[in-house]
Amino acid sequence: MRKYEITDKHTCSDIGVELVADSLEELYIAGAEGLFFVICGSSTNAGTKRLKITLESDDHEQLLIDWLSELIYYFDTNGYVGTDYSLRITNTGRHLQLEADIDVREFNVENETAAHEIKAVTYYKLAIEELNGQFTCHVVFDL
Amino acid sequence: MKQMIKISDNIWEIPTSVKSGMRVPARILSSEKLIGGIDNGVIDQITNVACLPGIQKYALCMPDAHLGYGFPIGGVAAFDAQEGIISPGGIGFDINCGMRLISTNMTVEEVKPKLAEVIEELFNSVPSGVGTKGKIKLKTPDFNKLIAEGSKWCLDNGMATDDDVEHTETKGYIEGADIRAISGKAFNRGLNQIGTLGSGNHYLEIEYVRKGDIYNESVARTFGITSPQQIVIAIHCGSRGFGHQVATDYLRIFNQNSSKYGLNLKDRELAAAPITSADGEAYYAAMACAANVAFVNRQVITHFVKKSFEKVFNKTSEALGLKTIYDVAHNIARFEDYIIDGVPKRLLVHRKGATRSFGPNNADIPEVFRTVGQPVIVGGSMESGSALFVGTAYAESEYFGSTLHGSGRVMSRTKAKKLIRGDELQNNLKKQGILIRTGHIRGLAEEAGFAYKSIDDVSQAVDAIGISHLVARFVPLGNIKG
Repeated sequence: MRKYEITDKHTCSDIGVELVADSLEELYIAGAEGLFFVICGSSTNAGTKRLKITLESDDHEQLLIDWLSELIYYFDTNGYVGTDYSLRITNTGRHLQLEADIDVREFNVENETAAHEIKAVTYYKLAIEELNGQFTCHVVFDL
Repeated sequence: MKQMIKISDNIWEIPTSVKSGMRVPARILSSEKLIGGIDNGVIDQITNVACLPGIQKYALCMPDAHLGYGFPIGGVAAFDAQEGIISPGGIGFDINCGMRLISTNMTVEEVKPKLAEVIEELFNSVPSGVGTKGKIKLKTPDFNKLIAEGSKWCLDNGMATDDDVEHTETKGYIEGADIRAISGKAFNRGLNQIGTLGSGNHYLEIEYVRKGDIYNESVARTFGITSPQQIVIAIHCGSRGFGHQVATDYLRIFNQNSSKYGLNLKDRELAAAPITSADGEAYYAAMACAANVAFVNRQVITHFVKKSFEKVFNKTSEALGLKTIYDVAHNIARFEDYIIDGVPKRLLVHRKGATRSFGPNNADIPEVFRTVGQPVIVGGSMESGSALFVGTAYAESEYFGSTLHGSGRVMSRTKAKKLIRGDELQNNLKKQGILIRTGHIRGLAEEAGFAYKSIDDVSQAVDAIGISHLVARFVPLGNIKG
């Protein structure tokens, strides 16, 4: 189970997502889905390419920021929008490692209308919490 | 807030006793009308800023202050260049977001018959919105040169005049830019975005001076504003993905290394490093690169604005009087010299959603403005237009030569969209004589005028405090919205 909900209760200038999932991996995927919903709304278009991403961070919050920032980078440079995700998080002993395979489609600037340009993912009150096997987090995007 | 002490009609102070670790008091520059609207989060953020090492005199909130990340937007703090810190959170993700104002010798009467045509031409020649790419194609060596040189690159490539460069804050260039401090990601994000507006609250607007809206004729004339009905053009944008990535990269590095510097940070967005540390120097060099990119971005947009006007009005931009009045940064850190308690000091002044406000005789402003002070350009909403102020010696002596940058948002995007549809807003504005062109009509509602503080309320507060003085107000005729 995973879901995201768009929110602006934390700041009136920007937009965030409230994430709920029953695993960390699903929480990160919910974050990605929320991010692309904020950028270009919902779409049923299938992926046409596959991306492989590997990231390392010291804590889960930083890893989430790194993950979403990586997706912003691919959108900004190649117009890639994630459509399907396979994601693993492991503790290497030194770092937390995220390995992801992402199906992406190319955003078509001529035919599609994007809603928001996300400048960056913020640390604003960012905290991943676990309660009774459910993970929650809110993430605020700077627009 | 109970602990806030009223110092004078427009100045409130939060003493160091309010929060453990505050090194200096925080000062809120505001008005009776605006002070009640200050979010508690802003107070929390500015008192956190007051705890940072090397901070001088006060942590400051300008009258347009609102909640930001780390620093509030509308926040100013100056740090000792040797003992202080540098913080990406004190500059913002959009490094050198700023305003440019261009004067013309045209009147409303002359422009109105061709307004729709010129707006369409501008919309096509200045890409706006999400995912758009700039009209100029750059190869790696060109982009490296542009990053290092700022506006001079535009001059060398036929996209600026000497006058444009002279009328840009520090001539469109910040010393210390070093491309070795830039990540490949920042480079790649910026490469295709030169000459683009972006989205959100960024815009390109045709405005005019209403009768009665010139408040200081002599200063206005010095700035190039000569009569009511005169057309001006305002540009609001920054360093695009390049700057956003620089901020993301260095926030990560600073957070990772914060324990190394013994900084007990109250907020990860306040991540900082000593100015003289390797990380601090690298971020300054990268920030300077992003600032240069933003100056170039606004200059390239100016180039295409000139071309658009030339095409529609079939005259040269010189004949149409298109001339950069000034270009100011409002998300930046700069080394400046001030007297603190009688001692001259070199400081790194962070202005996040705040504009430099230098008064008369300051050697760092163009010679033509030295008798009056620098132009300060302030953006409002697409319904309210912009305002032109003049910098003051008082701002320099008391508040690190700083003033406001805009009107400040007061309503969430979701709420604004619940109150009005984008097409409805576009039609309402059309009835008021304001033509809006956007690629994203639904999103237009998010930028409705009622979502922002009144620019007039903020202007009055600033004028009363004396950190800059109102010279002229401009109202919109047409707007390109990202």
